[in-house]
Parts: sequence; C-alpha cells; structure tokens
Amino acid sequence: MSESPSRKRELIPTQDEFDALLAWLNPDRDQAGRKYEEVRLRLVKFLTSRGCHLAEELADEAITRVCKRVKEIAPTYEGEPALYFYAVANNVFREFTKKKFVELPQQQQAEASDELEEIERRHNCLDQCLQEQKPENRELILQYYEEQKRAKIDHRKRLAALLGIDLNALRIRVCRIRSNLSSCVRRCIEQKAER
Amino acid sequence: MTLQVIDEASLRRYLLGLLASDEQQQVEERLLIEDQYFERLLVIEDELIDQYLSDELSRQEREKFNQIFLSTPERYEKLRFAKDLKSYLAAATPAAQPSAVVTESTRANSVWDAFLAFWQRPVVGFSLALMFLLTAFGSGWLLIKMRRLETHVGQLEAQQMSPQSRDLQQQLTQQRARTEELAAELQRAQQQRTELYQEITNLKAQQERRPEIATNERRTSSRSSVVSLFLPLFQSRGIEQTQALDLPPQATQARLILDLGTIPARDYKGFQATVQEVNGSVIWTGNNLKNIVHPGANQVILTLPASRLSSKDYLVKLNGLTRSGGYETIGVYTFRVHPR
Repeated sequence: MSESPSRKRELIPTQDEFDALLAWLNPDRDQAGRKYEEVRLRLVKFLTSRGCHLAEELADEAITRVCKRVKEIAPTYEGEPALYFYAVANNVFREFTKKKFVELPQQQQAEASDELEEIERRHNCLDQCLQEQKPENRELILQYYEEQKRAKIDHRKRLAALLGIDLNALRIRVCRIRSNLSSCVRRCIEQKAER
Repeated sequence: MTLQVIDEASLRRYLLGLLASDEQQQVEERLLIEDQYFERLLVIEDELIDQYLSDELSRQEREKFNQIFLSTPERYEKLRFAKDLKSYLAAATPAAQPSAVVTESTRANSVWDAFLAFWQRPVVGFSLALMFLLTAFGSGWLLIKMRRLETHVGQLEAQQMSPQSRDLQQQLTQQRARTEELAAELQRAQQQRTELYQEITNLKAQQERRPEIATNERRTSSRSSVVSLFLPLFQSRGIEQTQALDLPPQATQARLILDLGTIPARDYKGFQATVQEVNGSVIWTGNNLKNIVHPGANQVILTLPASRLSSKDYLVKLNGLTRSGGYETIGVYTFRVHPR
C-alpha cells in the first residue's frame, strides 16, 4: 500500500465528500456516524477473516474510494449501501493479494523475547480492568470461564438459567464484556508503554 | 439442525477459511447488513480462540486457525488477550477473586449455582434417596417404640405411685380442713377481741365518769376557763342529792352534762333546758339542744356563762321536743355552786 504523497493526498476524502457519504448512509447525522463505524468494523472483520494483516488499512482504502464516488452513485444506487462498500473492499483486497504482501506481523515474531515481563504487565492490566468493570459483569465473566471442556457447557447452561436468559444471549453478553475488557487492557498496555 | 446452528457452523467455517468463495460472499454480505449475524460472528470468534487455547480444535481446524485465523495482528491480539485471561483465571488466588466486590445478587447466584451443581450429582441423588428411606423407616420404628415406652411408663407410674399419692392426698385434705377450721377460729377470736376491746373502752369511759359523779370532782385544771359538772338523772330524788360545782374565779363558762339514762333520745327532735334558782328565777335557757350519743353515754350538754351563777342551789329542767311539736318534761337536775 505504499503510495506517493500526491497519490495519498488524492485519496484523502474532502469534508464535502465525507458529508455526502454520511448523508448517503443515513439522513440523520448521528445515525450515519454509527452506521459508518459499523460498516468499517465489518469490513475490517471480513478482511481479517481472509488473512489480511492490514485489514484496517484496506478497509479505510475501500471507504475512501466510496467517498470519492458517493456523489455519483448515491442518486441512482438502490439497496443497502454497506454492500457497495463490501464490493469495493473486495476489489481493494484483490489488488492487495496481487501484490503478495502477506507476511506475519512483527509483533508475532517478537513474542518470546520478553514474555515473562510482558505477561506480568498484561495480568496487571487485566486485573485493573476487571476492577473497572461493573461488579455483575466482572462476576459473570469470571464464572463463565470457570469450567473447562465438557463441564463448561452444563455450567454455562446453568448460569444462563440463573440469569433468566438463554445460552445464546449469555454468549453474546459475555462476548460484549470480553470485548470491553480487551479494549481496556489494550489501552492500559499502551499507557504503560508510553511511560 | 436449527437455523442458528447452521449459521454458526457457516460462520465457524468462514472464520477458518473453509468456505467456498460463493458461500464466503453470502456470509460476508449478511455480516454487513445483519447485526445479529455479525454479533454471532464475534461470539464464535472468541469461542474459536478459546477452543484453540484449550486444544479442542480438530487437526484441520487447528491448521486453518494458524494459517488463516491468526494471519492478522488483530486476531493475534485477540488470541493474546484470551491467553492472558485464561492464565489470569487459572492463577487467580482467592484474593484476586471478585468476592470482595461482588454484589449480593451475584454472590447468591454463585452459591446457588454451586448448590445446584452439588445436588445434581447422581451419587448425591442416590445417597439422598437412600438416606430418605432409612430416615423414614427409622422414624416409624422410633415412633412405635416411643409410644410403647410411654404406655409402659404410665403403667409403672400408676402402680408405684398410687399408695403414696393416696396418703398424701388424704393428708392434704385433712390439712386443708384443719386450716379452714383454724381460720374460722381465728376470725371468731378476732371478733371476740374486738367486742371485748369495745366493752373495755366503754367500761373505762364509765369508770372515768363515775368518780366525777361520786366526788363531784372538778374536771378543770386551775388554768381552765370552763368547768364541767355531770348531773345524773334523779327524777325522784330530793335536793339533798344535789351535785356541787366548784366555780373557780377564772371560770368563764360552766358546762352541765345532763345524763339521759335510759331515756330514748331518738324519740325527740330536740331538747330545751332551763336553769333556774330554787325560788323559780330562770337564769338561762337553751333551745334546740341536741343529745350526744356515744358508747356508754346518752347525754345533753349545755354550756352557760359562768357569770350567771353564784353560790346558790339551782334546778335544771330538761324538756324534750316531741315529734308532734310539743314539749314534755324529761327530768329535773339539781346542783349547787360553791363559792368562788
């Protein structure tokens, strides 16, 4: 994805283009903003699923391309705008794979270097972030991962029954808590690295 | 297979790069427009990572996980977090557990969960059933045994205690009768004592007055300003029976106590008395006089100025006011005043 500076400037959407993009996603600007984030996240997701380690960059590239063309396509386009983003992202991904720019990230290669220290730092952050969670969420996630293998299925069913929800709802709830926790740990590690 | 299971299976295969391109496109399009479907993808992503760490993936899945799933920094970061969480939970000491901050409701859930888990164990269930049967049998046997023992003890008590209790009851009855008799006797004695005391009081009062009658003793001290004289009712006696009144110089009043004897004073509405000299001159008259009745005494008292009296013989005439309104003579009293 190396581009010349002039090319990069071309790819940066203008405010007018970005506003047109939001208006296309939803007439309400707040709703449009949320929709934009959802679309971006999902593009990153499926690009990641295809083994793309630059999924965020490719997703942004796809969104920028849509921005540049939104005034042309919006008046005549019918259907879910997200699918148009998807089509563009597919093209971006194809271009990317043609460059055969698939390699493991440096982070993975550096894994073993300072493992013990890193584990301690991450555990401290995890501990801190768990304390920051709502008590019921903290208790739930700790209980959810209490049992292993076969026992965990029955355990989680009982846990769901106790909460008065089905197992699927419990899985989703835990996934959200875990996502919050993960974001918190990431921020915590970044902050500690900056010090 | 339910739709959800099919979806989840597709998503799982999608994440591991096992879908054909057309299936992959379908999944990706749904991911873009269906929120719940996308949310399910996130759940399966986490679960896939957990299964990888727990070594629960098949060989093919594990290979694809390493090749496809872990090919991005984002996924790698997710795996790293899951690894941290797993090791954190495994290493969690009681102090690191959330017990100190857990809410009551979640604590209750945890306890309840453990409680349910315990009772759902087959061994516990079998043991419980066996224990219940043994308890039921034992309770029945104990109940019968206790009934028999109660009956036996009751019979023994009846046999052993009858003569003693009968004697005791007789003694008790006798004692009660005796107590009642004593109480009655005591009451009678108290009544007699009261009557005797009353009698003694009356006698004393009479004795106190008798010397006054016999000796015409002056009842006043030298300092007294009132002198009294008791005059018995002598309706048939002559002047020689006259009582003497010592009238000291300081006396201002003379009190004459007229004895009514057995005359029923209640028959009269009031009394009238006149004090006169023997020549007939009336020196003092008293109307509407009332008799005084107290134990051992039936009297009319009249008080006249001492200045009216001198060293002479006097007559006191006592009349009673009858119910019909007329006066009738009750008696005549005489007395003599000694010189001052």
